[in-house]
Amino acid sequence: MLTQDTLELIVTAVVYLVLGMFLGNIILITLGLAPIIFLSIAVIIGQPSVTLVERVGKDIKVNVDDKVSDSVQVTIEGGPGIVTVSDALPKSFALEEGNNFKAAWKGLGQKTVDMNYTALCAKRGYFDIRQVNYEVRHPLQVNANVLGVLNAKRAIIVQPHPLFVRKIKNHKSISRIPMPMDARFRFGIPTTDFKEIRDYEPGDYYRNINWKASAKHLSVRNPRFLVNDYEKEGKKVVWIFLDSATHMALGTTVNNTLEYAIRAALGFSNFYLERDCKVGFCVYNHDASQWEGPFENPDKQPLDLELPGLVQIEPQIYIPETEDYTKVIGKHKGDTRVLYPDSGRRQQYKITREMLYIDIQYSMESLKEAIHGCRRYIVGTQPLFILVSMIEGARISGIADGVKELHKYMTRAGGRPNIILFNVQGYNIAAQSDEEKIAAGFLTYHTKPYYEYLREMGVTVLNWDPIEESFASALQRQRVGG
Amino acid sequence: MKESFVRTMEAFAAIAATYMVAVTMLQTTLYNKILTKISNSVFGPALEPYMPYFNITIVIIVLLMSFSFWRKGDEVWFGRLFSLNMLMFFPSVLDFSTFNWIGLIFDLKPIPGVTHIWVFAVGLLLQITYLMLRYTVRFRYVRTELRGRGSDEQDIDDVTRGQVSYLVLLTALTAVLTGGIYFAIPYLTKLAINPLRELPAFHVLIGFFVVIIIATATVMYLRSEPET
Repeated sequence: MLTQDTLELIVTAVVYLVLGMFLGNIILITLGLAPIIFLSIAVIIGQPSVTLVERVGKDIKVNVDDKVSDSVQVTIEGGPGIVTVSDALPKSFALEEGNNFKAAWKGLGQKTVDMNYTALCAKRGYFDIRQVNYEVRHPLQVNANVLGVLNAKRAIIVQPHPLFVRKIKNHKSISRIPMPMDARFRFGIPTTDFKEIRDYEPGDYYRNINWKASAKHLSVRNPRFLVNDYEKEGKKVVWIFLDSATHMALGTTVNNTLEYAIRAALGFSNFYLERDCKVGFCVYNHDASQWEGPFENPDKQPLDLELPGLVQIEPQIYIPETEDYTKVIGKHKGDTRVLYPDSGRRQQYKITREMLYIDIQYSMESLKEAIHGCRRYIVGTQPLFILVSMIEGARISGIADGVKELHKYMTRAGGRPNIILFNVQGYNIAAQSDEEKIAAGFLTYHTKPYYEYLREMGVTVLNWDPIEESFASALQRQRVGG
Repeated sequence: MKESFVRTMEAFAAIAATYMVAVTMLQTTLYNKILTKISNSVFGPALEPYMPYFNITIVIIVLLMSFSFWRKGDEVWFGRLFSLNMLMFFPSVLDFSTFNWIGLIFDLKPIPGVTHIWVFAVGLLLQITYLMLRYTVRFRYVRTELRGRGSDEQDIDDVTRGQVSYLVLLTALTAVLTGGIYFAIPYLTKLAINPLRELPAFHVLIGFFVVIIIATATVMYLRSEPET
């Protein structure tokens, strides 16, 4: 590749040579050769090439706000020149120590560049940081720069921090968190549904010992047997519905209402799973209540009668069958984000994994549509419904419609609240200055009448201001406040 | 290697080249002719007491100009510095030209005060200075760019050290090879004169054709490299 610099040198040489011939001057002619010689040597010596990239760090699972370290080793061969290497980090990662960008001078011999850094993982998610970008330059930029990417795979799973309810210190108060109806007993008749393999505990039946698994894991250090654990009969069900509408983005990219809502939802799911409940999880989109239509069976094919003489009245619209189009359709229609009720660690893992990918507009179903889609798993049970959202004064109808839909599938025996609306008050999250905090207070105050409206519908509204109080104290306050 | 070192190197190269070319110019036939013309003009008697200081004044003025151009420190001003140096170098080249067009116009008989080797050495110094200044400016741009991209200061210094070493090596090799060619030319002329004499075309035309071939071949070679 010919650069402007190179061309200028060649022009200079030609000017010298022509002028030298015009004047019959051997000095000028010889001096005209100097740029050509200079250029030729530069081209012959060549420029570097990046041949290998190795990453020391392995795949890792960490929590939000944890730090991860990594080390990248780059092998450079070829001629001398400048090499820049950058290990592109996800946007939510903050560099704490070291540097993920390195510039190095490559001499005549082979060179190995080491790059070490530590980064803070500020947001949950699954991050694939395989790409290492490099740029190779000729020392005098006689040739064009070479840009390239080499793969050195590493996956970092950043899990959200669950908000553990068991951390409540004030034993005098009782957590408001209710259990599903009649779910007060941990023990039940085991069914034949396999749950997990766990360590043997006194009281377990010998027949439940899994001899193969025990033989594999039995050692001097771990002399315990492993037993098969089965699901208990009559487990109670909890449904958690998480809102992923655009108003949940209130705040910054890293610290917004959705992030707190996810942590709260994870806290609830862990709480109930630890108490042997079956937990179902569904992501909905409050905004979708504005465009929801009549329920349609996605499997139902349109009728194709081909009646003679019947022509289509509406003009046919050509829609290109591109990849983008199919992606859009897939995202906007029938894109349900549901984990059906299950118990045990496996369900906990599934929910946690799902949480990694949740983002704004993650689902395209309204609350009403989501409940309708899950109805087969709700009918016949007496579940506890937990809706995690943010109440906004002007947009209460979507929640109200959803609550009405829920009433179709539940009873209110004994006056126990079976619907909890966990309201994450996001205005304070977005407020930076004192004035904004005052405004946030006003906005929160304006939503208060709607709490009463929802309470009249049989919903227990729990308010949580994540900036002002902890998750546990929010639950505690609800109890004290009545 | 710090940026200040690069700037110092630039200053040294710029001032050395300007000084050498100015001193060379003062010993050329054309300059002496102009000086004689001034002495013989109507202003001559008035300027006569100051004539001994004329040469030193010119040298100081061009050195100040060179320093000022270096202070600006960008490609445009280094280009102007090169033009100034070439302008001063031109009279000395004319003294050793076969076709001294200006000498023919002004009826000048070349009486140079320096040898052809001196003139060639100064010319080579100008070329080397031109090449060095051209690239040291880019080295400074690279430093700024790397700093902007978040590179460590130590890494940037290492890169500059490598670049400067490479440039010094390359210019030294170029100087040696060009010098070698210049001193080998009389011998090459003896070898080539008989075959060239038999060529049916005018020599300047052949020379021009060769220059075109050199330039085209270089451009084509560099263009043929894969674009990335």
